[in-house]
This record gives sequence, structure tokens and C-alpha cells, in this order.
Amino acid sequence: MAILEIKDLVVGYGAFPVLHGIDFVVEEGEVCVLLGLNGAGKTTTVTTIAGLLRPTSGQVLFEGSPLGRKPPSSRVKSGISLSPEGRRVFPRMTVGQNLKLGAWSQRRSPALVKRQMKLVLDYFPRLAEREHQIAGTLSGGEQQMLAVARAMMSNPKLLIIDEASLGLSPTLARVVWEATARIASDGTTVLMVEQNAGALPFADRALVMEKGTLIRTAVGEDVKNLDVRAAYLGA
Amino acid sequence: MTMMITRKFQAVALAAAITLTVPACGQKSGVASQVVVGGVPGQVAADGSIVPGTTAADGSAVGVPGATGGVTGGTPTGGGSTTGGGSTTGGSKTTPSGTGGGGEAPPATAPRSGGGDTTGVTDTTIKVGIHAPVTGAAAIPQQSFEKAVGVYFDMVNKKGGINGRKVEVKFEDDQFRPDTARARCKKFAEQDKVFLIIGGAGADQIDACARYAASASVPYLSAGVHETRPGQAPLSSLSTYFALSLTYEQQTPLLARTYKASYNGQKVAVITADNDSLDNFHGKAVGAIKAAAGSNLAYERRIPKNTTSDAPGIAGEICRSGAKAVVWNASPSSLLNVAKVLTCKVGFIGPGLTNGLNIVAEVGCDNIANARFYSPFPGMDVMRRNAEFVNAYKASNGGSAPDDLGAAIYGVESLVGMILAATGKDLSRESFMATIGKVKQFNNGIYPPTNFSSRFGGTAMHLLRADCSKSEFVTEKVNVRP
Amino acid sequence: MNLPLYEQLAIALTAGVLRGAVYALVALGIVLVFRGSGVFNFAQAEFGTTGLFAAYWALTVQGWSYPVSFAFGMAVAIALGLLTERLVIHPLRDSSRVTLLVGTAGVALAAIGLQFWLFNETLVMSMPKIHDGYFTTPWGAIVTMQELITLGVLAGGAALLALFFRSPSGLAIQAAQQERVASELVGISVRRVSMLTWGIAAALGGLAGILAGPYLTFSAGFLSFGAVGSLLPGFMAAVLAGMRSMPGAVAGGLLVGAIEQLSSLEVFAESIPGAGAMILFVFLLVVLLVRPQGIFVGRAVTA
Ligand SMILES: Nc1ncnc2c1ncn2[C@@H]1O[C@H](COP(=O)(O)OP(=O)(O)OP(=O)(O)O)[C@@H](O)[C@H]1O
Ligand SMILES: [Mg+2]
Repeated sequence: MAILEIKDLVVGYGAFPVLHGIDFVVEEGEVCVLLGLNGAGKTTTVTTIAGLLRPTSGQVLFEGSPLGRKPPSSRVKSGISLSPEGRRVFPRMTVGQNLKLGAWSQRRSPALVKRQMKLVLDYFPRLAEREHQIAGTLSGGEQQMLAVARAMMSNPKLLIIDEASLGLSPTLARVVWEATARIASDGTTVLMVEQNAGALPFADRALVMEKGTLIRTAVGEDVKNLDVRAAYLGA
Repeated sequence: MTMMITRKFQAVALAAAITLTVPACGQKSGVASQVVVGGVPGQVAADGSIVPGTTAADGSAVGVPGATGGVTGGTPTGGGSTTGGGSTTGGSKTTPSGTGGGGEAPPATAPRSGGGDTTGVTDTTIKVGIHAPVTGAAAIPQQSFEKAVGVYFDMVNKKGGINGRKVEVKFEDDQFRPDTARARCKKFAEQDKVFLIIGGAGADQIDACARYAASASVPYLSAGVHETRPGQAPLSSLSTYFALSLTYEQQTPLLARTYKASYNGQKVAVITADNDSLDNFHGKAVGAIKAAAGSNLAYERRIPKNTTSDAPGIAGEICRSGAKAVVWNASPSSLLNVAKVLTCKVGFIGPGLTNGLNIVAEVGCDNIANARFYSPFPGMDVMRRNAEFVNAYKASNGGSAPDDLGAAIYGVESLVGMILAATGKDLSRESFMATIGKVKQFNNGIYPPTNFSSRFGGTAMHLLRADCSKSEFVTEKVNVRP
Repeated sequence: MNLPLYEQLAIALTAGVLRGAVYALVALGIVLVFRGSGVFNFAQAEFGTTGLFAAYWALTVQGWSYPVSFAFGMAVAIALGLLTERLVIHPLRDSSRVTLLVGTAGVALAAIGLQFWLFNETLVMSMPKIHDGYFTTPWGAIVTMQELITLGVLAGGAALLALFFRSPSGLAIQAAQQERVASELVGISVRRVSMLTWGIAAALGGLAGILAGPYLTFSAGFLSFGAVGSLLPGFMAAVLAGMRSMPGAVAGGLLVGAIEQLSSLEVFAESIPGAGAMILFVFLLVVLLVRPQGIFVGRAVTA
């Protein structure tokens, strides 16, 4: 069953539409990569899913039910967690506090928070060493890890990561992707926004966007055969 | 009967009309004082007495009509400009005076004035300007002034006016600011062309307006305030100024006497606001108290005009000095603030006007219990029994009961009304001012009787005492003479 | 009456710290709002005056008991804070800081106007103290119980705030201050945090107003520019605290109060009218020249 279903989604900023009616699904347990050039509308798509933007028309269904006008707080409570573009860690708080805040929506179940904390520090051992460091002083790669780790703290069913590899060295990007793959294999569905085709080997499904429309979808074996350059050129 | 002119009035002689300021009673008449625009300091004795001889020596005595130039309309102020009457400035209150006839009155019937300055006077109307701090003066509710002004003249108008003329009141808010007061009085003189101006309250505003009025040759009357102001001509030298009650300086013997009567042998402090117009008062008050108390004068200080954050410091110093009595001449809001933070019991003594208003007792009790202030009008305990006043106030204000500000303004208005009446049908600014000097005493039963042997016509004050069981000032003694 | 200088100084500093407690309460609110909304809140002191007027009305017009009147005043102050958030801050949240600043100044003016309008008949008001007692310190300063209570409330309030900011809700407030989008994404309602911030700030203002009101008489605009004018001193204290540090705001408030009272020394008192404001401005100017970031700038992270 599709955990996430996007139906004819139209989103705009002010009067200008940016997404011109896109449809796709993400199946439970898979890793889905959303590719596209700068300005294609990837971030717009995922922030709409997280509830930060209101669609002009169309629907987002999560676990079969439409999310409607639910605010971000209730979406994260029901299991959608976004690690936003640009990391957006809480700069004047420690790594530990950032992670604790990631579990804000689950603050009434301290046992779960404890478990998640252990889990994410296990995914990202580098953060464990730096639990008391002020987040603003972390390196870019560490901040990215923190952003993903924080998003995992709410124990989401669907983890969305917007451009994890941005600004990271190829090695560091791999570290993040590998951790993501582990998260997925532990049962969390992952939707990754990427410009970097290096993420494709980790994907079960690939979507290619261009100028606000979805131009290609590949599933399973097709992902490996996806000619990204051709996709980017709209071929 | 509250209105009583003790001396029968005589028609004004032509000589009196030429006499521009008031000759001192009992002094040889016929010597013209001067009206010079702006007034000439130094020609008048410092104590405010008018010495015609010295003025005459100046040699610059000028015939009225010419000297007052533009302001004066010469003889008959034609039906046109001054009798229009209907135009009322925003927010001001014009006493309904039925000037209808006046407006249409042909110039031929304009008053005979014997050549004097009849600005603001027609056959049927007299235009009067009053300024008061409707806004800006803490502690005085806005409506109090609005309700108070014109009450007396309304009543008089209903009875047919003064010598057949209805009094039309122009009222302006001076915002408790001297520059505004000056501007409003300029408007009175130049635009409204009033006959005379009355200062409702506020020493610095009265000072500012009085100086302007003298320069424009407009008679100006108010309750007594200070006498001098550093760097400026004394108020007594202003050619059109008249204080209707004792000045602050004149009251200092009263303050010393009250100290002696109630606090003899105990420590005393003298606190005065730091307005420069009170420099002279402060010196005299300290002198008088020192004479009465000797080394018991424990503390003296000038305080900011509006004491707020300094209040605890001042109160602390009063208490540390051990003073049991405080001679106080500063604003009521300062009084309330200092009294509120006092941690010792003291009795306040001071000149009245606003400090004697009931709002001070209402807010300040019990901190100002038994405070004694000398006021030109009696407390409401007396004024409530004055049926003429109460009825007039109610008639003008839709039945609402009078307050003490109403009494204060009523007192001034009625005193001015008496002088106007005494001047007679031949009303000009000259004849009006001459009458003030000639008629020895005006006594309206509210203000203490006047006696204008100088610019300062006050003879006595009423002593009010804060009665905290009633939360108001009660009249302890009337007509206390220095 | 010439006290020795050191005694005068001791008296002035005592009075200054006591008055500074009011400034500190106002400064705390200013800092809180600045951190929360990035706004210079010119309405901070008027939350206090409005609360004071409400308490006065409840106590003297309605005749309610002191505790009930106090609570009512606090409720009105908090309501005004929340209303400001709803009607001014939230709608203008994407505007420039200057616009927001003008917005809060507008709230202050509206509040003063309202006070004038509703209490036109009694322009000068006076409210009884919680406790009428006072004592004289060995060095001759007079301390009223009311002032002592205010100082105690400041200490207690500051301690509670510190505790609160270490709690999860406090952490959430700080998170929203540091990263709005991320806060939304982890499920913190930034809107609710903003309301909470303004509510607490208004409560601090309310405490300042209702506690300081009985010191002296009061009229409209009392806590901004009136008898206990605390808006400028409060801002000075906040600036000393770098606009961020809460302990800094407390220390700054007390210091500003103390420095202002130096004007009561005999050297200044009669020779220079308004010496307090002058000394204060010179002091602030020097501080800003020497340490533009403020002098009581603690670590921004409180937990
Ligand atoms: N707040 C905004 N107001 C107006 N237009 C916006 C806004 N945010 C994005 N856009 C526009 O919407 C389009 C899609 O932007 P979006 O951020 O979704 O692209 P993207 O695919 O995430 O690009 P990138 O890979 O560069 O992050 C762009 O043309 C962008 O300029
Ligand atoms: Mg993007």
C-alpha cells in the first residue's frame, strides 16, 4: 500500500503556480529519490507534504487519508518528518538539545524519546561524540547529520530529506546516504530530494521533476537504468 | 446677597478715560499713568504699588486712542467685526448671549465711550476671553474647566446682562503651557477682539498671557500669583494687569503665622517648585519662616516643577530633617507624590489655588491630612450654601452639581462682572481700569474683598484645611488678612 | 542638613536598587520579546500601566479585595499582551522591524489613550500599598515594604523564568526564537510560542505596573513616562544586557536604577535639574562606546 500519495498537486507562491499538477506515490518501506534541476519545484513539493505550504488544489494522502489543512505539528505527530533544505539546526543549542527538540511531538512518551535518541546516535556516531557541542559550531556535514537525526527523533513513518548532499564532499554525502539506507532498512520509508545522481544506487524509486511537472518515474530495476542526464534534458 | 459694591459708583470722567492705568487710591488724581506697549519696567515700585508720580516723570504718557493703534477700534466699534459673536472656536464655549440685535445695530447706536478703547464692546455685548489649562494640568479633570467657564456670565445674561450688555465668553485651553497661553491670548486680542482677558489658573500661563495682554493694551485679570520673574519686568509694572487676590509673596506672613499658631517650636521645612517665577516667593517664605522659627527651619529646597521620580528622595530628606510642618508651594501632583512616599507625619501649609482643590484631598488623604492652604475662594462646604452659585452652575451644566473649580472660576468671573457693572454704560478699557482704582472695594462674597492701591488688589485669603474624614477641604477661616 | 557623601551615596544606591527592580521587570519583558519576535517592544511599560489601571478600578471602583484586584490587573495586562500579538505582531510578522516597532509604539499610544478616555474623571490616581510598613536602614535610607516586595517579586520572577527556560516549554520558546521553520517542522506551534512569549512579557509588565503604582500617584502613561517612567530605563537595561541575556536584564535594571539615583546626591540635586536622565544617558553612551555589545551579556543559551 502506498504510504504517500500525491494527486494532481498544484502549489504556488502568491499568484504564480510553481507545481502544475503532479501525481506520484511512495510505497511503504522504500527509498524514493526526487530528482530535478534547480528551481524544478522539489522543495516546494516536500514542504507542501510537510504542511508548511498550502496547495492551491490537489491532494496529499498519507496512509490513505487526505491530510487536508492539517498543520505541520499534527503531520509530524502522525508520522511525516522533514529534514529541511539548508539543515536549519537550532544554532545556539547543543546537539543533544537539538535532538530532544526533534522529539517534541513525542514528548509525552519519554521512553520512546530515549529509544530514538539511542537509535539516532547509533546511526550517526559522530553526533554521539558531540552531544554537548553547540550546533552552530558543527561542520556542514555534521550539521546535515544532525538535521537528519533530528528528523528521525520523532520516530517517523515517512522521513523526508531535502538535499542531504548539498555542500558535502562525496565521501561525506555517501556517509549520510548510507545512514539513510540503514534507516530505510529498519522500516522507515524515505523520500530524498536530490540533485546528485549519486543517490540513485540507494533508491527503490526515482522521480524526475522539471519546471513543476513530473517528467519521469522509474521503479525497481529501472532506477539503475535511468539515464539521469537524459532525464534532466527532458528526453 | 452676595454681590455688593461697597462704594457707589460714579460715572467715569473724561479725565479718567485718559488716565491709562489706575491711580492709587488716595493719591492725587489727574496725573496720567502711562500705557506703553510692552510696559516699562522700573517705573513701578517693586512691591507692585503704582506710583503715578514716577510714571509721569517718564513723560511719555500717551493719549489712549493713538497709542493703542491697531488694536483699538477708535470710538464706536461698528456693528461689523466685533459683534459677529456667533463664531465660536472649536471646543470653546460661548455664552449664549442673544447678540442678534447687536449684530444689526447701526453704528450710530454704538456705545458712547468718551474716546476710550472700546474693542470688544457694542451696545449689546461685551466680549471676554478666558484661558485655563483644560488639558495638560495633571489632577484637574478636563470637564471641570469646561463646565466652570461662563457659569456666572450665563446667569447675568439671563438677567439682562451688565448695564444692558450681554457678556459673550470666549474660552481657550492654554494646555498648561506658557507659550500656548500667549498664543491663545494673542488670538483673543487680534482675532476675537475681546474687551478683556481673564486668567483661569496656572501661574506661568497667567504670567505669559498677562505680559502679552499688556503689550496689546488688553485688561488682564486673574487670581494673585507671583509678583516677579527674574529677567522680566515685575507683573506690577504691566499696564493692564490686575491680581484679584493676594500674591504668593503677600501670603508669606500668613504662612509664617500659621506655622507659629499650629507648630510653634517644632521643626519646619520650606519646599518650593523650581520655576523661576517662584524665586522671589521662596526667598520671602524662607525669610518669614526663619523669622518665626529660627533654628527650627530644618530644611529648604526647590524641587522640579513636576516631581515624580524625585519624590522619594525629597520625602526622605523631609523626614530626616525632623520637620513637622512643611511650607509648600509646588504643583498639586508633586504634593501628592511627595505626600504619598512620606514615612513621617507632617502638616503642609501653603498658598492655595490648585493645592486647595478637593481632588488633592480625594487622592492625597490621609497623607495630607490637615494640610492648610490659603485660597482665594472658600471650600465647597461654604460654596454649596451659596444658592446663587449652585443654581447658576446647575443651570449651565444640565443640573450637575458644582465642584470647586466651578467655584474658583465663578469667583473670578463675578468679580470681573462687578467691575464691569461698576464701570457703567460708558465702557471702555480706560474707564474699566480706572474704575478698578477708584472703587475702593469690590466684594462678591466669594473672593476676599479687594482693595486696589496697587496692581495687587487682594486683601485677605480664605484658609482651607484638608478634612480627611470628608476627603475634602473645609473652610477653616475666611478673610484672613496678612 | 549635610550628610557625609558616603552616607548620601549609600542612601542613593539603596533607593536606586529599589527603583531598579521595577526597571528590571520591564527590561526582562523587553528582552523576552526581542528574543522571541525580534521586536523592540515600546508597549512593554504600557502593559503595566494598563494592568495597574485595571487593578485600581477593581480595587477602588468595584471594591474587590486586594488579591482579586491584583489578579484582575494581571489578567488585563496579559490580555493586552496577547491582543498585541494577535492584532499587531502576527499580522505584521513579515514586515520590517521598523514597522513592528511603530506597531508597538502604536499599541502604547492606544493604551495611553484608552487610559485617558476611561479615567478622564480621575486624572490622578492613588492605590494603597500591599503593606504600609517601612523601615530605616542603618545608613539612613528609607525602605518601604512595597519596594521590598517588588524586589522580592523580581527575584522570584527571575528565578522562575530561569527554571522555565530550562523546562521543555522554555526550550521550545528558545527553539522558535532561533529557527522558526525547524520549530514548525518538529511540531512546535510557533504561533503558540509567540503568544506565550507576549503573555509572559505582558505579565512581567503587569507586575511592574501594579507593584510600582502604589509607590506614588499615577495617571495615564504612568509606567512609560509618568511617575515611575520605566520605558527608557528599561530599554537601557536591556541594551546593557545585549538585548538577549535575562540575568543581564535584571542586573542592568538594578544598575540603571542605581546610577539614576546618583542625581539625588547634593552635588547634583539642586544645581542640575533633571540630572538623573543626564547621568544615565552619559553612562549609556560610554558603555556603548566601550562595549557596544552590552556589559551584562551572558551566554545566550540558558539551558
Ligand atoms: N517563497 C517563494 N516565493 C516565490 N517563489 C518561490 C519561493 N520559493 C520558491 N519559489 C520559486 O519556485 C520555484 C521552485 O522552487 P523550489 O525551491 O521548489 O525548487 P527546487 O527544485 O527545490 O530547487 P533547488 O534544487 O534549487 O533547491 C522556483 O522557481 C523558485 O524561484
Ligand atoms: Mg530545493
